[in-house]
Amino acid sequence: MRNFVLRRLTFSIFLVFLSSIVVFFGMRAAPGDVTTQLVNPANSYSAYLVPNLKHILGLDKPLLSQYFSFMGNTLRGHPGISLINGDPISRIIGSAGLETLKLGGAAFILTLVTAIPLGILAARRHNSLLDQGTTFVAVLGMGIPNFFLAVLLISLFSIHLRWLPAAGSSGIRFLILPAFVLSAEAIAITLRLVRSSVLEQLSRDYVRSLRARGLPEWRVVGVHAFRNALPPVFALIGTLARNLLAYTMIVEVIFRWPGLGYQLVQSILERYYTLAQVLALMLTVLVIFFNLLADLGQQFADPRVREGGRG
Amino acid sequence: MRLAGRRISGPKGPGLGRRRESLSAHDDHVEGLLEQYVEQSIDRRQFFKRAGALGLSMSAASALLAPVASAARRVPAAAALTRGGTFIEGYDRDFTKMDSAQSGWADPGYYALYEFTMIRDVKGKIVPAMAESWTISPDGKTWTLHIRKGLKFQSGAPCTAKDVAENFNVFRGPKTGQNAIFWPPMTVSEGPNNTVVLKLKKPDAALPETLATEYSMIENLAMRKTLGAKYGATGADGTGPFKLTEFTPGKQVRVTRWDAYPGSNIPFLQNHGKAYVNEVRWVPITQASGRANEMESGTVHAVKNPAGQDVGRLKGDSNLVVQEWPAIANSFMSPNWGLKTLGFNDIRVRQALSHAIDRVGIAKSVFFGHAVPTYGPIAPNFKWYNHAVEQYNQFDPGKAAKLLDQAGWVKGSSGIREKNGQKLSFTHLDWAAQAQGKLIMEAIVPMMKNIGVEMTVKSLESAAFFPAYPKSQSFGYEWLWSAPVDVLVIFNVIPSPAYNGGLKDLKAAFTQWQTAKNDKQLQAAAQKVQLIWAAKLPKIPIVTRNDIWVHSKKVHGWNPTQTMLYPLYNDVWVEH
Amino acid sequence: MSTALAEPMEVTPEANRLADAFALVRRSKLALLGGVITLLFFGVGTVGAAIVLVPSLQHLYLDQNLIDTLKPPLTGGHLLGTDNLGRDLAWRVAAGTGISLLVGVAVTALSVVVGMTLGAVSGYFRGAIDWLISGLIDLTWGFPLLLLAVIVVGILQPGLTSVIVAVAVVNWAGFARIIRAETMSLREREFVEAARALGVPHWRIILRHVIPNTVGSTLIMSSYYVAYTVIAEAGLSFIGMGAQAPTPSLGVMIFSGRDYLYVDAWMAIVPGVAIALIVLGLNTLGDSLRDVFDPRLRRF
Repeated sequence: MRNFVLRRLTFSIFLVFLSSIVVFFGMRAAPGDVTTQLVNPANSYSAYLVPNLKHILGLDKPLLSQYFSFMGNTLRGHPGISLINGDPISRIIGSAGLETLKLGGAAFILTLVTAIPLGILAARRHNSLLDQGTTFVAVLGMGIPNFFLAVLLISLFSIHLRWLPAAGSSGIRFLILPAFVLSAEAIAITLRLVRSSVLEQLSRDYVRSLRARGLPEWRVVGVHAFRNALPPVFALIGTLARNLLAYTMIVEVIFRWPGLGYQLVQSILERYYTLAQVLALMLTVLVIFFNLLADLGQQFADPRVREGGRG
Repeated sequence: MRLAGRRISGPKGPGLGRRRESLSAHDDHVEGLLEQYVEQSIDRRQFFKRAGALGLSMSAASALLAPVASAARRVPAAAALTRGGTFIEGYDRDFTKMDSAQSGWADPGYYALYEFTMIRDVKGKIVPAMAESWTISPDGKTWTLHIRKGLKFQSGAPCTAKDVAENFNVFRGPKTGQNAIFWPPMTVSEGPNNTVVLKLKKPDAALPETLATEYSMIENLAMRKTLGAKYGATGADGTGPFKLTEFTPGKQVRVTRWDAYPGSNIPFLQNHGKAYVNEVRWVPITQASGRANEMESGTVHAVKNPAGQDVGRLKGDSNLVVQEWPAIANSFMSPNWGLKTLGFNDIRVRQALSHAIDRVGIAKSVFFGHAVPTYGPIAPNFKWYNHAVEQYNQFDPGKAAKLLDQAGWVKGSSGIREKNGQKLSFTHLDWAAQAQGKLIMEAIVPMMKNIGVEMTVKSLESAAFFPAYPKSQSFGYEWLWSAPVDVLVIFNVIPSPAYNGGLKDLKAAFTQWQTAKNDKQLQAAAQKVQLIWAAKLPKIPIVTRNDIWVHSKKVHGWNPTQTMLYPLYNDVWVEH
Repeated sequence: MSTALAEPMEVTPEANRLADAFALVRRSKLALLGGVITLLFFGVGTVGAAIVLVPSLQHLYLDQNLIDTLKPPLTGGHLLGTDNLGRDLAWRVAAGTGISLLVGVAVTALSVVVGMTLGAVSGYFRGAIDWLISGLIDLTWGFPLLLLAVIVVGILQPGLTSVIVAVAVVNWAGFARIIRAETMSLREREFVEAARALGVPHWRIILRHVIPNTVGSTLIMSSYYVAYTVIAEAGLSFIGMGAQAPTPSLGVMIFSGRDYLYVDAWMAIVPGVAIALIVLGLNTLGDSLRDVFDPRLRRF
């Protein structure tokens, strides 16, 4: 176990640096740069403006020196300003991060609040209509791509029924559709896991003895069985978090939710170098962290999946 | 506007010289006027005065007023002017820096934060703003602008002729101003009694057109210097009725009313004091279908350019007002003349490509009818539009085929035309940020195939498009600018003279435009430019989409025009 | 020692398992459904791939008619209606399915080759090489595809090639992981020891004895991964980083269809349902195969 964690840590640090280099030099290698967003090309073809701008933004220094100053600044917590609009990047990340946290948090809570009770109920009423229904819905949830689900929901709730707004982020109402779309797959997975885990617990002896002792059913299932069914679910949290992180990008773009994912897509497409670099770094670190969590969780829950043997 | 079940429209008498497109726009202005009268925000005398300015005769105006006046007594008075509240406007793209000297494009926020020295009215005539009057010397070379006294920046610093002069110098410097190309050579200095004196090298009657653009709005240069690259994001300082409160691209831009605003003197504004609303907020709605959706669900009060397929529905919504007219824009296609192998330098080939395009079909399918086919470089609602362009570039695939045959391009076995072993097959670059350009080109590809020309479209994001298009075989673009002929001057040489070929007569016409001494000469030059362009096709014009402005009936005083990019916010108030 | 036993052969239990699998599929309705849908996917996909790749057939999904736009299904000779430029929706969905199939197969093939090689080498040789490769595997296999793809696309320019590269870079690790585990257990078996004792070279052992025994797991994983790739490609195209219009990728079609949801919802719904069906079919197939072969591969 310790060997595993140590190895992961070493590789992680290595990967973070590798990705910073790849992103930095890769984006510079790609054609075009951010000056096209700052200077209207059709209005000022005079060759002065662009090189002047490049000089002000420090884009004409040798690449290696730019890389080192970027890394130095970022590691010290001052990544600089956005090239496109002068907004300090820490401010952008702060506000975008908050938005993503809101969305991700809502999705997470929604997942727990929906999947766990439903899973327990389905296990309790094994093979009933409810059970089969929820299983079916769960299968759907895992199969329908989330962007298509978003389109369907927008079409129904926003365009035809006019109950919910189609995009934007100015209030709780705006959070409902994106959070649901984001959590759809997570709900499906968690539901199935809770159900099978509780089901397994319910077939154990201690449940029978608890019932024989006259404990009310809801306590037997909802408290004791559920508590024992939790470990695999805990193990899932890392995986869920990691998946949520990835899906936020699509959901944020669809619903125009100004979070980190939205910023990442924008900054890469439009070559806002500094912002893209910082975001890519941040997200790499986050992903690695969640991955580690997920793998530790897996090992904790299921020793059979542990990497083959020691040494 | 519907009152007592009758639709009231403007006069269509002879001799008024208006065309169909501008007629509907005219109706909207008349209706807006009637609305203001019913709301009692203007009185009878003002109504007649403004109706006259729109071209209505006294009798026509009275005729309009009669049913309204009686209806006004029957129907309870419309909402009285309420101050305060927030006005939320949906924008069709994301935001750029609030800096008129240096930005990616011009945002509506500029109209709230900054002011113009002079501005265009609804008919395109240049009227006073910060410059309350100006004189031109007899030789046309010296302009003296009298700047209003007592003007201030939102930070409290005074704004005098000296500041205006400094702004002008920043705007016209190629290293400092993004619009420098439009400024004729001159020296700018502060004159006595709060005036700005411009000494031009050559007379240029079109100078006001440049001064009345969004890139000539006056800023506090001292604050700009202090904030450096952060100016326009973390802070901004202008003389307009609102101050910048929040700038979060991707989310919103907010401005708050500046209570110490000395007021505007612009003649066509009703409110010459501080603004009515407390706050204006813009939200970017980049997905076209989202704009109609947010209007209908009430999350925004006003929006620009909903998707064509949604407009009919919005017009049927009794809570909304929809105004529509051709934009001061044009989508065009630009084959590269410099590539002689593809024959684009042969006028017959270019004309053939143009005749293959079914502009009416594109306006119908891509824009759902909310666009105008353009046979010349500028749309028909331009004040100096030249009808004669319509004899060129009509949809005629038969003629196109004949022209190509004449030029020596004959259909090969694959169905694609060939000449001397070279296939007439090219790649067209499209700028992904202009979503409609992609659709237009998608529609054009089969039209080209129909006459034996093979066109492939490659859509690129800004960062990749702009370096690539100067070397492309063909590229497409939509320009949107309040001074159309100036834009044509630019596009005659963009991306390079080698790309577009050097048309001597066109160049001469442009020189005529730039040295015109009065409106009459400007008009003659503009018309000549359009005719030569339509005939010789340095770029192939396709369509001009309509600007469609939608606002809730609860919004008043939001008056976009055909001559400026965005409306002013001084008059806006919202029922709440 | 008999020369007939030049190389010890082990009867692979996989063959028996395969028979079991078919029996199961025939019996379980869900598995049958999954199988049928997958077959349909391959069928339509092959047709679609054909019309995308053969120039003279491309007109089927490119022909436009600016008058008959946005027609509902079963009008004017169009089975599923037309899109915003009057193109036949049925042919476009077929072409889109073809693209999904091509990309899915291409990526999975790539991932299998790389993953299998690295996984087998790592599990067989152990030691430093194993340390390195499994470290790489650990880090890569959980990396959110979308994030990586966005970065790759940013560097390489949007397009199907970038999508294929991006997905393959992540997918190989999933295969490698499983193959590695299986290799490690297989190498302890007697027949391998015997082969080593006989002096059979390593590569031969891996190729002829280890790899064939991993076919079952590979098949199961492939089923999941093709589904995963289809979604990834569509998702990336949807946010503008994959295929570009007019390439009729299913993701691009859903994206364009978004604007017309009010006037003609079919444009967005038909390709969406197509993707959902493909993914459901493949997932179900994978689930049933897994239930037969190896419950350890339970995928969340």
